[in-house]
Amino acid sequence: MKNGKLVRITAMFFALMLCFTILSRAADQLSVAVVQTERPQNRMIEHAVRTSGKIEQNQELAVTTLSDQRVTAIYVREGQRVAKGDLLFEIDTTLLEEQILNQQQEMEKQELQVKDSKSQKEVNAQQKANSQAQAAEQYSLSTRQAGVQLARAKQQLNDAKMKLKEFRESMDAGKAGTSNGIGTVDSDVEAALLQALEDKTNEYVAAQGELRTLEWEIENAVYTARQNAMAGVTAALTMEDKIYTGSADANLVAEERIFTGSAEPEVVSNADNVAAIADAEPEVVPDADNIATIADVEEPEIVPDIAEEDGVLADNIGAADFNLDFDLNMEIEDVMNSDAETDRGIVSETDDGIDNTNIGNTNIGNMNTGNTNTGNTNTGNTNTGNTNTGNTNTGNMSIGNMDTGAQIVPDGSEQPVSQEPTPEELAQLEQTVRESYSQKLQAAQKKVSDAEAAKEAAEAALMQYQQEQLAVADSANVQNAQQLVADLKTAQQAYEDAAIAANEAAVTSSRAVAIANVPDASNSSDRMSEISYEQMELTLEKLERLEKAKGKICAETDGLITKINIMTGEKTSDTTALLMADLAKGYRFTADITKEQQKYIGTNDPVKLTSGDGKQKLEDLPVESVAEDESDEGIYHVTVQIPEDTFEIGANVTMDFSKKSETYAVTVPLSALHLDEKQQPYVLVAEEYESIMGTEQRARKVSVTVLEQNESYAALADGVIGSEAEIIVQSDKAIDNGSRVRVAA
Amino acid sequence: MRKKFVRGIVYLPLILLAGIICFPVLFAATGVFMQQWELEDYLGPVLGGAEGVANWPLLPHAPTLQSLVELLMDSPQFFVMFWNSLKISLCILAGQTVFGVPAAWGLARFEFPGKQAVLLLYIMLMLMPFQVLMLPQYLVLDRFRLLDTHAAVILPAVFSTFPVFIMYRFFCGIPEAILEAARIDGAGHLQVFLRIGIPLGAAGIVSSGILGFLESWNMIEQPMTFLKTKSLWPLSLFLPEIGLEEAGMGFAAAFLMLVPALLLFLSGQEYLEQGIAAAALKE
Repeated sequence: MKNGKLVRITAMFFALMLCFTILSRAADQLSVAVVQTERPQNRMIEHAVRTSGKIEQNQELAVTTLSDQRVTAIYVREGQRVAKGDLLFEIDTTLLEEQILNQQQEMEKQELQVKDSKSQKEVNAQQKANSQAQAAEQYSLSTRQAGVQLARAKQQLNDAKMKLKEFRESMDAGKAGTSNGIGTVDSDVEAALLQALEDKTNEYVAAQGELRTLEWEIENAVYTARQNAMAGVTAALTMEDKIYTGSADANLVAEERIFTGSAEPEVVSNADNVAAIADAEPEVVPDADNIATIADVEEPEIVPDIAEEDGVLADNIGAADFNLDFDLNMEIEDVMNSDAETDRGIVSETDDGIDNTNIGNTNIGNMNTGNTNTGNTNTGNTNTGNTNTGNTNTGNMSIGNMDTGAQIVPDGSEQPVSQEPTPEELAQLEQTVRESYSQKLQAAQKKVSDAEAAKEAAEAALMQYQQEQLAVADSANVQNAQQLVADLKTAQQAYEDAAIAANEAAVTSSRAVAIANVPDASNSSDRMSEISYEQMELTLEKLERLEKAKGKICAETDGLITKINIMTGEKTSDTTALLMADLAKGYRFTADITKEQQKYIGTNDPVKLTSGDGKQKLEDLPVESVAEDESDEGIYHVTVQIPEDTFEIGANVTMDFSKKSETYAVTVPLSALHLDEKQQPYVLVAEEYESIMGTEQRARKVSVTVLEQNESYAALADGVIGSEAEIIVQSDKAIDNGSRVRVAA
Repeated sequence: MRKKFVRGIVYLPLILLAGIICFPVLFAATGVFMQQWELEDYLGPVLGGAEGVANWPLLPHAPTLQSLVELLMDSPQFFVMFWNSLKISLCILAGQTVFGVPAAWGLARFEFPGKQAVLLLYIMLMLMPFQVLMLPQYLVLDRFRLLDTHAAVILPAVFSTFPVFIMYRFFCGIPEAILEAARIDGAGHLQVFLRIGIPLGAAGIVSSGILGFLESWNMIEQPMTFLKTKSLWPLSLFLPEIGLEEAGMGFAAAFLMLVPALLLFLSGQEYLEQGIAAAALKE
């Protein structure tokens, strides 16, 4: 190869390289962004807030009048200024007068109604008192009558006995000494037989009484159960544990007693048992479950027990007695008295128990005690007492309810039975109650028939003995003796009948008393009428006042009418007739600002207000308040009090406000601030660096913290950016971290 | 005929060996025309951590000039380094010419006390690798405040011993009779040197120049050690900066870097051969 050619090739190569050098540099420069930089400066950040709002009155007054009045004339229009006392509108006085007349008449009517209802109430009270007294009288009368008859029958019985005895004695005396020993023996035998008969008779009567009481009891229990089912058991739920326990204790005591009582019919022994149990009472653990169990098991026997107690009480007071009387025989008076004392103790104790149980019990329980004191109480009253306990709550109710009570009562916290029971359910309930009693009833009936059989057996024994006696005796005396025995038998039967009748009378009349004592439903119609009357009086007063003003309604203060709700010729409604701004209270400017703006404006900051047309300006007005909107979060209300006679109410006004911050060492134009993908602010700083091309400039990303910013500048936290940093504020191309840049001169 | 056959047998392994030796050049030449993705495919296992074994086709699948254009049009850096390299190499060549040729002439043609000691020193210095001289050079350059300038690379190379030694051998080979004839004709020392010495020693000068150029064009350690400013770097430092992502550009750059050296070699090939031949003849 020729050297010359090689040199040419070499030269060409280098020329080419030179060419490309220039070209590549030119191309490179095209990609470099030309930027403008600025150094951070000391600046204050000034915040300007501009917002528009309205002029409002400080206070708005509502002008109202009575409703249903015809407006005859309106003398003002919206936006009109009125002075104090200016006539606003007028209403029709003829209509007003008519209304006043109507009102007066209505009031008269109401007055009469008040009187009527008052007198009605009095009459009702009197009637109630009368019926109560009547029932009490009837009760007292019938029991006394029965007592008298009983006493009389007894007297006759005693007389018959005495006659027979005398006759026997005369017979024995006539028989001479031979049969003397035998005669004495005979008379003793007969006396023993007689005594046995008498005892059996008494037992029979007592059994009869018990049966009757039980029957009444069943009826009562059925009624109570129905009542409870109807009324629900809300009362039961309100009962406290203590009360419940107390009632359970009482039940327990009563049960124990009745248990012993049924085994030994003597009251004295009952009393002992009760006392003993009453002593042991505090030891009874108030466990709801146990109590429930006990109540379940023993309930059916509780009621008769209490009945017995009350009967004892009645005895003590001295009213006609059927129970103790038969138990102890009338002649043993002192024994009876001592028994009575014991009984009183028992009764008072049991009463305590009942009281505990019936704390929530109001009328009937109280009535019961009251009646006891007045001496009206008897077996029947015992029943009413039971009714009461049954009527009231938990423990007692369970007594009345028997098995059904177990569902409702045992636990005070059980869910209330709020549903109305259906007739089928009621029938079912009644059936249950009756069934629960059936055994007891049968027992009582059996007892009655047993007692009757025993009595008849005793009678037969006596009769047989007497027949034998008669066979021994003289035929002359036989007729006489037979007559006497027949008399005695008649007297005995009469006595029995009287005793049963007395028992029945007591039961029936005590029931009447209980019914009479049921209190009336509360009646407050008279008071309600009075209240209506008072209301009418007030209305009338208003009408009269309006009439006095001749139907003219005037402004109460200086103001500006802002709204009129009435129309001439139409009737007024309940709403406000017209609204007026109270000019005496001044005006204010209100505007809404954003949360951002709210940061810079505070109370007493001076603001500038400019009217919509820009003609009127007010400067340095202090801000009265800045408050957040209650419903709209992020919106704040600014209020500025403005002097009188400046802007009109309702005018649109612009508010300007500016606040300067402290001086920040590092502030940059807002254009220098960028946000990265994480929304963190950063600036780009132009910095020089060494490259193959020599010293070049590129952008470097610097994350910053913005302390404060307004529309044009941002203050940055110190430390990250030095005061010498060239912050890129403008670029002709999109640049990012690391982009090569060229700082324009 | 038989002679031809024998020659063929001799040539075959030689051609084979030449082909093996030329393969890297072919490698570079084909790489220039490959696309980036192709290069990554082939070199991935070596450079990019991909699986498999690197392979290299004889011809690119999708020939393109993209890499070349990119290098030439979009990489001003490449040209900065290219001109830096050229500057350094030419300066070194010039310096060696200015200072080395007289030095070699002096050592070859003058007798003075301690000449053998100087020659010995030259040989010793020539044998020392750069790594040994790096520190002393650095200290000296630092003292002269020449670090981070092109002079730091150029000056030590200018006073390198190798070209002096090569030229010394050439100048030694000039017959004394020619020089004496010149002196008799009235030529002074300078005239003898310029009119007789240089023309007769041209082969040696060119040889050392070509070798010197190739050395300085390719030198890496010196600029890497003494130059901190990137804008002063020669082209030899451009290639180490290039990774797999810019492999295409790397091949293009390597190709362009080869061109001046090749051209220079081809230009001086005649002198080089002459010089070698002269050296051989002399003995």
